[in-house]
Amino acid sequence: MIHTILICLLSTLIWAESTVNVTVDRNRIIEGDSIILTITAKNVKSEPDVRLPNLQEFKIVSGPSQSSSTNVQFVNGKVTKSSTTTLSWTLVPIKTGKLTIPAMVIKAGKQSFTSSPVSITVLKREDLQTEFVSQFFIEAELDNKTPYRGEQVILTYTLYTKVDVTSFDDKLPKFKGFWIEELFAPKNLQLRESQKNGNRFYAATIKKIALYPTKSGDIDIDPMTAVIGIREKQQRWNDFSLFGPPSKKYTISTNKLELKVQPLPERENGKVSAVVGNWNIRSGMSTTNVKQDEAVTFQVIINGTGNIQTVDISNISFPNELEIFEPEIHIKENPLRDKIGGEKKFEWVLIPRFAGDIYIPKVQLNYFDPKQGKWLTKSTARHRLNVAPNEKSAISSIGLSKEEVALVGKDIRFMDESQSKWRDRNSGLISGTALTLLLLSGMVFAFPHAHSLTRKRMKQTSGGRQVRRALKSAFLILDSKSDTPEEIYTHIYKSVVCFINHKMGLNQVEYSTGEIIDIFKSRNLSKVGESIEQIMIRGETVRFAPISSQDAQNDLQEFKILLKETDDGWL
Amino acid sequence: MAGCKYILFFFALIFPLLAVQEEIAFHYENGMNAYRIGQFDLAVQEFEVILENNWDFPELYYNLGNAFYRNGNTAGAVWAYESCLKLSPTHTNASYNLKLANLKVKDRVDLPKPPLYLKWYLGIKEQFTPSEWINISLFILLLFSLAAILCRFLSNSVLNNLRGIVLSVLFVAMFFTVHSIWTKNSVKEGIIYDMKVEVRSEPNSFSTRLFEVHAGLKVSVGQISNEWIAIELLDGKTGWVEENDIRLIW
Repeated sequence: MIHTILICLLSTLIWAESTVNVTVDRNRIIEGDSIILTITAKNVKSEPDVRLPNLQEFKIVSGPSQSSSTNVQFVNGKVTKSSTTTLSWTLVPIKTGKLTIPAMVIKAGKQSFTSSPVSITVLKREDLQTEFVSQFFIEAELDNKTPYRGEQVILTYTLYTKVDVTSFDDKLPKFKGFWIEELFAPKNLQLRESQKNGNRFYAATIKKIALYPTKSGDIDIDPMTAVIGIREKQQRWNDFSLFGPPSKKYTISTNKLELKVQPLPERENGKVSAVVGNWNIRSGMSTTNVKQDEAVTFQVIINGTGNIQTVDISNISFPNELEIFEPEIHIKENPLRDKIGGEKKFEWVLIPRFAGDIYIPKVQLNYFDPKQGKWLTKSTARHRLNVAPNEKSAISSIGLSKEEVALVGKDIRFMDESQSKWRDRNSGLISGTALTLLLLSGMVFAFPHAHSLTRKRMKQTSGGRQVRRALKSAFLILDSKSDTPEEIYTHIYKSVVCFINHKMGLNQVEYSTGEIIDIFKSRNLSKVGESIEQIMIRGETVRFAPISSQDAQNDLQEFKILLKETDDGWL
Repeated sequence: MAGCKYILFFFALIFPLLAVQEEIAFHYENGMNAYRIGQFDLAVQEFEVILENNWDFPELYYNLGNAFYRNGNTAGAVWAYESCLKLSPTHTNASYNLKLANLKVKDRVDLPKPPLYLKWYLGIKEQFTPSEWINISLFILLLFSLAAILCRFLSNSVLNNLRGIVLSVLFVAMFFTVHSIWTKNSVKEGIIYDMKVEVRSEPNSFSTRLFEVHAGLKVSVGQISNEWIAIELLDGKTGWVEENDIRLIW
């Protein structure tokens, strides 16, 4: 029976119309206030698929939070079913003026819905009329918006309220580009009366943070958001409630802050450092009269305001006569004051290893003072340590040789300003000088060999030269002055002897006519030999049968021709 | 016309070289001026630019060493003075300043004194660079050649003896030359550049830590493997350090 009724009811079930709405709780807000963006899907058959568009003018603080409800009604026998799904986000505007949440496309199963854009007016707090003042808000404030890099900037978050605040839960932004240190963060809000834009508020400092910009340029600080609980006025709190007074939670945020960080200026003379602030430096020694190998304490104390973590002077160049131990560093910060700073104490244990006066040099602190806007150098006094000798200790107690001990306390020699002779680092070992020397050595070594070789060769070719010179030498004799026929024939004889000697490489003084003829015959010059023989026979008989000068001259000319023929035909 | 081409070619070769040398000289002068007014950081920077361009001369290393020393960089100073002495072993100022810089080096390796003959031998060998030894040997060779010629032409007992002496000196010089070249090519050295360096048994950061060395220590350098360098201390200890922790001496 029940089953039958249910089937009948279901058969008459009517679904209401499907709608999707995009709404905000307020269209006109003050900067720092939040809005709740709600998407309400009614009577959709499946879960709505919502993808928020890119909300550049808003920051999503929380969401989405989802709730669903279904309602079934029996009216005149008809069953009407309606369902509602709600998705909500908390948004904080990051700008003032007229902002827009763009249209959204929301899918629910096969259905698709397009919302209308939603306009929100965000008013600037300082422009507000007195009748439109928010009851509570938080404000972020910087003490300096144009600091130098490394200079301390104090960021203060203050809550202003006209209503009872039951709870406060903040969420700090990420401070990109800063080194930060929290100065003040109370556990309970300490309210005080304060005037803001001509209105009376209760104000409480939520947080105070010291910021040290680590880079120069424009740096933005994102808003801080907070969830604040406000006591409800209408409802009466039940004194016996376990959950405390009834309150409503609101999300609020601070304004966005912008800093223009100035770079540290160049320093014309002197060193620069990362230390910024206002600092003082002093030093002290536990004693100035000490025995060799006894320890003394050397302290350098730096105090002032600024980022004390950046202060470092541990790399001091102590004299070589001292054995140095790693310094102990103590930092005493004074965070109660607004300006962070404090005292940094460096403490070294020094053991003088040599007797005599040892001077501990001045310790310099270079820092940038943002108030004066310039680099400053402060230094400690120079300390003299009077070290009495310790007879028991060995001279080389720290392993120095005698030669090294003699160098202790001395300074390096000055720079060398001699003329630069640039050298290519990739050049080889063999220089131009080396090549020249090698060449010269080779030449000197080769000289005697070359000399003997030349002489040998000359000797070898001397026969040939003599042969070539035979005719010339013979003609020289023939052309010499001769007045009488006897002299002409004597020259003819001498020239023949000279010719034969040159041609045959001999050195005989005389040849008989027969010998001369035999030589000519042996050289296949019989015909020429015969003519020469006749001339020579005439020469032999000239003493007994005188010949005219003309005939003798004719013989001379003929002999020259014969001698030339002989030279041409000599084998 | 052809002559003009040769002249143009010659100037095309020479001008870039002159321009480079002018730029190098400019950096050197800047470095020297920075040193004079106490800006040692700047002086180091300027001198290093010259080295990056592969130019040097002994006095550059010497002045760089001084700038490092004044700046408190002992390792840099030791490296620069050692490099200077490598190029000019008789640079007395560099030798003196190196001794002062070495006083600041934390690690001290004490070795037994070498025998006198070895000390003398090494003393003579290290008086000159390999390049200078080559020049010396070749000069003695030239002298020997002249002596040999004179002996050939002038038969004289004094000359014969002189030739023998020169030949002996030549052999000695050649021995020093060969040893010097061998040392240069086979023995590489470097300076520990980081304040504290852990020496490991293998070229990786998870191997056994053998011992520690500190900035400024001179070590012999062996093989290189994956950005790790094998080192050997004067007392014979060996191990591996990261390439960045050591600066090699050229």
